[in-house]
Amino acid sequence: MEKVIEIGNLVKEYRGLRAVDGIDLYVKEGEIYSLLGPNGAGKTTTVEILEGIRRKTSGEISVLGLDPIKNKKDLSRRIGILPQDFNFMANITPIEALKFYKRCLGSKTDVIQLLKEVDLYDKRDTPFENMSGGQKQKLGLAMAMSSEPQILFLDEPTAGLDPFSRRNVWSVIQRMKETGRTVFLTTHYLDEAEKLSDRVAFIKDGKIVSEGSPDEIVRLNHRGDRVILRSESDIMSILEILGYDVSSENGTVQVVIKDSTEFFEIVDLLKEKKIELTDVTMKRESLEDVFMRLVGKVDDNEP
Amino acid sequence: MIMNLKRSLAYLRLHVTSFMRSKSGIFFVVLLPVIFMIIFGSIFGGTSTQKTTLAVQDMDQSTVSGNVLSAINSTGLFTVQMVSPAQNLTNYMVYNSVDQGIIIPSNFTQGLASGKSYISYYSNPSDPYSQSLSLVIQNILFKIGSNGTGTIYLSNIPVAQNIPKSVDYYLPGLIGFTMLNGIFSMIYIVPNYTEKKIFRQLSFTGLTKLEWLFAVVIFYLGITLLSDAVLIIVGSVFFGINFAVSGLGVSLIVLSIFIGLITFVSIGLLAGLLTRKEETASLIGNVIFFPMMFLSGVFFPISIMPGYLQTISSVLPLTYFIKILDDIMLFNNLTLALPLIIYMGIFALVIFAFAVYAAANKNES
Repeated sequence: MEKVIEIGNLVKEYRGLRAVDGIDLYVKEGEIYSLLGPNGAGKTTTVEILEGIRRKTSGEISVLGLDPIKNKKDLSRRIGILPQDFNFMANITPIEALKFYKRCLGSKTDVIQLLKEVDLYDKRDTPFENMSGGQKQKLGLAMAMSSEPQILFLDEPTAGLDPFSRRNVWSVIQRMKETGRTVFLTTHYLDEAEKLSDRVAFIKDGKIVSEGSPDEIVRLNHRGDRVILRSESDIMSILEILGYDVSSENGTVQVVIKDSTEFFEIVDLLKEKKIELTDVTMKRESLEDVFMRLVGKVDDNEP
Repeated sequence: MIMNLKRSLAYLRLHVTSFMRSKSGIFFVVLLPVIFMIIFGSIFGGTSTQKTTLAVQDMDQSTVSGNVLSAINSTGLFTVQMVSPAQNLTNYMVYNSVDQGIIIPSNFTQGLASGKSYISYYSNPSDPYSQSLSLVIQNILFKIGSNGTGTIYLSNIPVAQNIPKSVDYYLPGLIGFTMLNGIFSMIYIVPNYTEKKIFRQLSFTGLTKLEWLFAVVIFYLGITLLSDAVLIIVGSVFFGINFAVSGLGVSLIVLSIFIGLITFVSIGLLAGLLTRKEETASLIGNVIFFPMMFLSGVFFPISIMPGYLQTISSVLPLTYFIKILDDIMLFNNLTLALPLIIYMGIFALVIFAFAVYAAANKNES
């Protein structure tokens, strides 16, 4: 598949502070690519440079083979943008907003069909100010899609939404992928990135710290699965003496293991020592574990 | 910067839709000027049965001329203002806004003794009462003549094409006031659109600041012309406002309103760019709006203001737009209005270009 977005050593500085610090990435046609990181990591700055809203300080960027600043006009019909904190004129209805977009962009989109695609047909005559957060985001998605763009840039499309609305928006994004569109998504929600993305990049302090499919990221950064043990006895000291990588969390003892053989070795060992275990579970390392280790934090407002 | 008219018109359509749903917008743009017209028209319109002022210049100073004046007074229809024989009656009438006047000539008694005499009746032909008042005076003179031996003729002389009445003076000011809607709305729209990032959202359609501003000016041109038409109709029908302007004059008024709106929408945009907070925007709006409203001749003539207020007035653009409208509407003096329209047109283009530049740069930062 053709690369539709390419970034090489991208840097963006604000008064000497580096918001984006030498990012390299590419996105292939038809992919959903997520940039995942906490607030202030550089996600929005990166996506706004790709959209042509902000200028880069240095580096190379190409969107559909074009420079987003120099070719802003050409790109405006080929990319769709849902910005962070999407907003629109308070007393304008979805159908009026989409017709306005259609007129400006000269597209042949069927506005009614588009409203049905994003499940907003029933709300077509509701003024923007009377719509719920989820409905507003879906209108934003519809507006982004109104030029039938090749790439959609979605900047935190579900931020601040309730779980039901988030899933609603996810299903719209998944339908976009089914129509062959490329989606560049920024989010600070791990489950969102994991559920929607073909490939994910973790971003921290303006740098990409890991990149690949969710499975690849876990595999590449794998430090072992964990056995989670609960007991009345002091099993932590015993396992530490035996040389295991042990930690305690919420009244449990967690032991890092290389494979499932090691799991059974530990259980047998504790049985031999007549130690009674009240609970034994094995936890495979998840994308969240890797993210927490590499990036170190998620946002307070995560649902 | 290339402008796409299709995008501009698409936004204009959206803006009109949004405006039509805003009850406060319709009130301020259309109804408020009409309310002012009703207030000033009721005060100065002269629809009541009050006496008409009649300027009288008695050159004869005789008993017979005294009888004529007594007869006029006794009708109860006139308040007689005596004008000294040394003064020019027509100048006096223009200067004092008096629509009716008579000159009793120095040979009035002598002429009557020989069977025939004349009194000149000066009136404003645009005054709807002129003809009836003329008939009243003719009737008085006929009776006096019949009592004596001769005939007194009334010779009607139009004073000027148009002597404006007090209420007429408010029409240019109120039209100027409607131009201020552009400035007032922009001060609220711009911070609101910036804060809510609606400008950014609009820019995704390719709509530029120039196209947006052009659409806004056209919108205010339409709404202001509508508002002014309502003003003129209400003023004419209910308060007898005299809107006797030639076709060319009307074209120049529309051009002046267009230039005025470019100027005031641009000033509003620049002021709106100063802040993102609605409270501060409101403060800035009042600081700009109220001096313009009170010191530019909207409600009070600049000539009655003290010197320092006249100096402030002279730097307010609205003063010049009202002057243009005064020249055209009150004095039908297009020669005087035209150079001022050209100067204000140049000023409007400069400030418009500056506003577009400032708005585009604000968007970048």
